Amino acid sequence: MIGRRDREAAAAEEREQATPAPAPAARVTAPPQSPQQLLALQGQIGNAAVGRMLQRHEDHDGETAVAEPQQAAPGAPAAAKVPGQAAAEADAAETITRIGKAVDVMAKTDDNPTVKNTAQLLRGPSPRVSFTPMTPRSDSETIRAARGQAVGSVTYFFTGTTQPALGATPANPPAGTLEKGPNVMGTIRGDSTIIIRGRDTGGSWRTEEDFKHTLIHECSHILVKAYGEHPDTKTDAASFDRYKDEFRAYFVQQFGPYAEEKDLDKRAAMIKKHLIGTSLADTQGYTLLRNAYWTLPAGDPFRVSIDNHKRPDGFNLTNSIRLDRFFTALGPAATDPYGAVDEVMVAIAHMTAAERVEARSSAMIKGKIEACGADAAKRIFGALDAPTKSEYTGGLNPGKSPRIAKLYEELARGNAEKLQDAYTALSADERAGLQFNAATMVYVDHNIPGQRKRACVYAMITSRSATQYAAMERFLDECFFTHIGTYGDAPTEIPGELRAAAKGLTLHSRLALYKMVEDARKSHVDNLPPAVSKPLLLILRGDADP
Amino acid sequence: MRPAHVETVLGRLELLLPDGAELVTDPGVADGEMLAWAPQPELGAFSVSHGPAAGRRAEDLLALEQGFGDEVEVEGDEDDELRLRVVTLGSRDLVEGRGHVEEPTRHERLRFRFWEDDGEAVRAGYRLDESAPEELRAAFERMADSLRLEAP
Repeated sequence: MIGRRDREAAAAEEREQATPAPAPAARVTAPPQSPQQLLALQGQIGNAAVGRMLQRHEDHDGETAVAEPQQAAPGAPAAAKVPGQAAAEADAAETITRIGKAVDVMAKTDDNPTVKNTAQLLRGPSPRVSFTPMTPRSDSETIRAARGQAVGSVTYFFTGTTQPALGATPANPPAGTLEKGPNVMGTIRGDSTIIIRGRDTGGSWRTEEDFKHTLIHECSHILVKAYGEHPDTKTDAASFDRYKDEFRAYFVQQFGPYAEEKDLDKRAAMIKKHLIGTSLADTQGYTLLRNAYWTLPAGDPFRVSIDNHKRPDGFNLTNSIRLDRFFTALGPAATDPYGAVDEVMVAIAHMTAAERVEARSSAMIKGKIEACGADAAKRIFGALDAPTKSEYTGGLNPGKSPRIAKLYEELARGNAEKLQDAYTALSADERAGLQFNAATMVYVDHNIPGQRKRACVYAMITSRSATQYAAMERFLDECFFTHIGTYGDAPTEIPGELRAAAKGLTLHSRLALYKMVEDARKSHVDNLPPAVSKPLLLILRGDADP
Repeated sequence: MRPAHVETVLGRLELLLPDGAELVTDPGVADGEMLAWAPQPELGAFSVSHGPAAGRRAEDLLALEQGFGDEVEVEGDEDDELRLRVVTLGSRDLVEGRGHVEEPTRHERLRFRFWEDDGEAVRAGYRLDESAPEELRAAFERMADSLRLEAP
């Protein structure tokens, strides 16, 4: 019998005899040297001791795509499935299916914005939030025993739908493996991935309702983290920020006992009890929050803050993808107050009236908008301040035409060429519907603060012709040139070029400039010499021909 | 403490056990046998594992810990013994019946001894959270100190 040191010495001696190379430097860290060794180790502990086999998930954020099978490490030998692996992988696939069904149901929910919104966060070609199952590895117990951990102390999970083969070398550990307590049902990976267990610890499948409220709850946490509104939640599990973060997630989760309580004060009390328990000795709830609360004297500011916190706070309480995109667009807009602000405007164009109200009332959002500069802020606030009444919101696109929706998006973005293209794509009936649509005009007023561009858009819409956009541009240019010309000899009549430009406008375009874009008219026409402005105003209001 | 022994593939492993302690079979081991005493399972366990050598060597354990742990420090690597300090970072998890729980960062100390002969091996020792009571740490330490393998 030999001890480890003796065995290593003997092995080293054998190596030296075989090849007179320098003595091996690594002793205990050496990976398996041969396929035979590899197979022996795999057989012993379910592949677990073959090098640095598994690695904590934090090191591999993002490597496990939603529902995508994980790949064995490059260069690793193809490992046969270990006992129970097929069943574990089937469970993982079934978890994906069940969660997917839950999300489908959520997506079809029309009477609950938070539920539908959460589905929208989880769907699409590049989902804002992704989910993946966590499933106990079939060889979890073998790994636990190999590490000398106590029965019942940990469970090893794989994420995704494939239980990855354990890597062959320390440099190639499989991604997505989790070492967790046996009762852990989920976690969040990185900034945008929800990891959910399909079965509970008793082996029963979690219900569709379980999946739904877990998804809503976890999305709330992900958004709170993204917005940075409760910063201490990340660093201090006993902080008021953490309390507010959890309180909000439970309050908005829409399913389960808290959602069933419709009296919101009672709901708040239930959640408070869940989070801090009823005394220091209470074994339920969040240990660190409970201890922090109950060890302080009554009247302590921390306790008072918790006692007074009865409604969820922070931005985007409804898990809206539109509000999230708006928030995201504001980031680059702070450093690029021109092009990037266009995308902020587009984000607003997609928001519901209620979401505009929420965005407008958020102090955090206000600060971010103001950081974009005065001009950009004026433009953004203008769009947010558009009416919220149903007469307006419902009148914008009553037929839900995708072409009209696109036009609104381009009007918000403000690119002249693209908005003319979008208008050109409208059908004749759609143009007629928008021609004197009050909601459309209000939308234009709120989304296009620049008087010149607004005048062009009005000309285009009221004349039902995209070419009127350019005609109005030309007219305003000629007004400007005439105005500059007044620095010499003031004209005594409408210059020929200006008259020609006026002739290029339809009556509707002229009337629109006269009455609907008064700020543009005043700055471009009213300030011309009377010999020009007076007859020109008569032309604009239809009392004279150009 | 009281004397006890485990009949292993390499012979009789003698050790001291705390009064009332009992090594019980751990069903998780893939082959061979593993016996363990874990009065507070969440904090750690003392175990004796014996059977085929693959997976029971010091390098196997070190590789495992380096794979799972966020920090692994080799505190001692002497003759037939390996001492490690392993740090596993905490996480915020959803726990059945409890909601979100802040799993704290674990700081564990491992001390295992190893014997091997002709493809068979014995590994005995403990892993224990540093937050464990001093009396438990002392008990595990005395048990590890007392390990003696008597060849058949």
